[in-house]
Amino acid sequence: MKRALTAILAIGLIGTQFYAAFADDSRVPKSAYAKEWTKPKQQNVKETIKTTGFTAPAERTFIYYDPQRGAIDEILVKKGQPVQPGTPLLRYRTDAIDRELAQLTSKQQQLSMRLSQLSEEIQGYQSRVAAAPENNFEKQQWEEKAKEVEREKTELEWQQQQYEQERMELLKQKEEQTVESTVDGIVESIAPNPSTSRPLITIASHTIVIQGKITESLVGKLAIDQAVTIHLPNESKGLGGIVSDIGSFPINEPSFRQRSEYPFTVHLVEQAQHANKPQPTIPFGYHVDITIVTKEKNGAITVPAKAVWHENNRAYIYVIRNGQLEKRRVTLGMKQGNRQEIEQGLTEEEYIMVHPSRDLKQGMNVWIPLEINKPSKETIQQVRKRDMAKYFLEGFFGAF
Amino acid sequence: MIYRSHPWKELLHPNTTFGQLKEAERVKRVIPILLLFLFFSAVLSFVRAYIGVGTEELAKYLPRYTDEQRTLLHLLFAGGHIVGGMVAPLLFFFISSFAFYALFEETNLAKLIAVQLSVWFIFLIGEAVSLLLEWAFGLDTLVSPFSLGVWGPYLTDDRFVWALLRSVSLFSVWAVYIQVVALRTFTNQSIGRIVATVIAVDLVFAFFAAVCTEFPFEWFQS
Repeated sequence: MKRALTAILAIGLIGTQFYAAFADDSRVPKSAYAKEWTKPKQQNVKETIKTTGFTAPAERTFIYYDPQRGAIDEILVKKGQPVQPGTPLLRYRTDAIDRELAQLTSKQQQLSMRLSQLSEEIQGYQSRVAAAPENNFEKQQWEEKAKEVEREKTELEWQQQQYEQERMELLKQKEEQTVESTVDGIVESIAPNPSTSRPLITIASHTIVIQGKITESLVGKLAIDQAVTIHLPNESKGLGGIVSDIGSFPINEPSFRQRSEYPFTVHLVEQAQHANKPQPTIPFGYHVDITIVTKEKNGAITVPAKAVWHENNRAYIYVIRNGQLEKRRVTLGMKQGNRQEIEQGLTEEEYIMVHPSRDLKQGMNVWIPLEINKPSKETIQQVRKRDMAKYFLEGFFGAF
Repeated sequence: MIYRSHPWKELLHPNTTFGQLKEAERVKRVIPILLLFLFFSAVLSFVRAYIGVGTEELAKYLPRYTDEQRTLLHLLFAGGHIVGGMVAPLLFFFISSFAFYALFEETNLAKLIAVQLSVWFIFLIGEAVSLLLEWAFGLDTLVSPFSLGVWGPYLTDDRFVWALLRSVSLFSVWAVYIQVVALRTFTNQSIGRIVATVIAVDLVFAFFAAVCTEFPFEWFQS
């Protein structure tokens, strides 16, 4: 009975003592283990957005079917064929022009024959005039006839010129029935059936751009001329570029269920700078990873991102100051990978806790775990003997 | 009759074992157990230093030292802690044994030393429990909930008082009980005198330990 009472009393007392030690408002000091602690770093930081995209032609030229020029006789290029300015692309039918040309040629031949006859007639009249005596009535008649025939010949020669002009005109029209390329590029597509509503031939330019997409929550961070790095799959080296266009309308029809995505275009900088040099061949429609630099700052103070914790939408870090924890509110800047920029509230010389937990509180003492490394002779010489004695004795007396 | 020291049995059955010890002509296995406890004390001190308990002073001057310099100082701290962890119980062990030997004429020093081994065992258990609390909850060494030290921060900011209060613990009461039972078995003195003597000796040592714990390291500061 006596033992049981003693045991109950002991358990009750220890229970009370545990409450005194661990109650929320306990005054019993607790220390924090600095399992990992560090100093902030000064570095250049970039805020980036990562997304995906694909290669596309920088420009497309469309050739449409013109029904006024008649039916198409022949498409003169194939899909994928490189073309240059002047390369024939297609030819319209020239039957009517050919018929007119044949008629005209026939007329010209008849006219030429008639003109030859007239020349002979004129010659005949002139020889008769020369043979006839002076002041003879017949001589005057031959002269009149010769003049009459010459007039007719002049008229026919004029007619001949008209026919020639018409022929030249028709030949020109015939030439125009062949459509030539005005640009340098590759035939991207040829429509199977001619239609006025869709391009008959599409020519893609040799230079490529990157077509990317970005969600509505990030599109506001994009701006024209922002630097971009393009990474091709399985290639470590990236290609530089700049944002050249940001779409105002979403890629798909907006809906309540899904967040919208917006298109943007990236022009490759190296491609533009070395336009005359051969570029690595990247096929159109090739998928790539896009990294857009939305912000950049040199000499920013950064800490491991996990060192920052949030309370009521405010950011805090635990600074180790005079051996105690100081809960300090900070202003966050950019985030780069696992590093977080601290804009305000921290200096480069201070130490911080890397893994803050809920147990940590303002004013807690900090305990530093031992790292077992053999100190060098230089280190032993650098540290004052007084300090060495101090810490040895502190450890010694702390054991009592 | 030969008595083989067995601290665990002595704690569980003090009346029987100390009765056997009283009747014994020789006491054996004291030195091996003493060395074993010394080893355990050193291990506990090393673990405490390894996890960083008591390194507040080192953390205070983080910017002053390079990583290598701080590691050296921490190693010295750990070394001091290990040495202290062995010296402190040894001092208590021998001083209290000699004190009881001097105060109670009918006692035998070898037998008192055997009794003090079981007391050392209690303090080793206390140290291990305290280390667990320090490791798990970051509790300051002086404010273990198994001791009255936990009330120290509620009473005063003076850490010396906390250190004094720490000496009154579940384990120290257990140790006093074991010592009283042993001395009652060995001597014909009244229970009052025995209890008073044991408490007085323990209090002197507690005061000494409190003074050591709160050693004024400010003297070393530049």
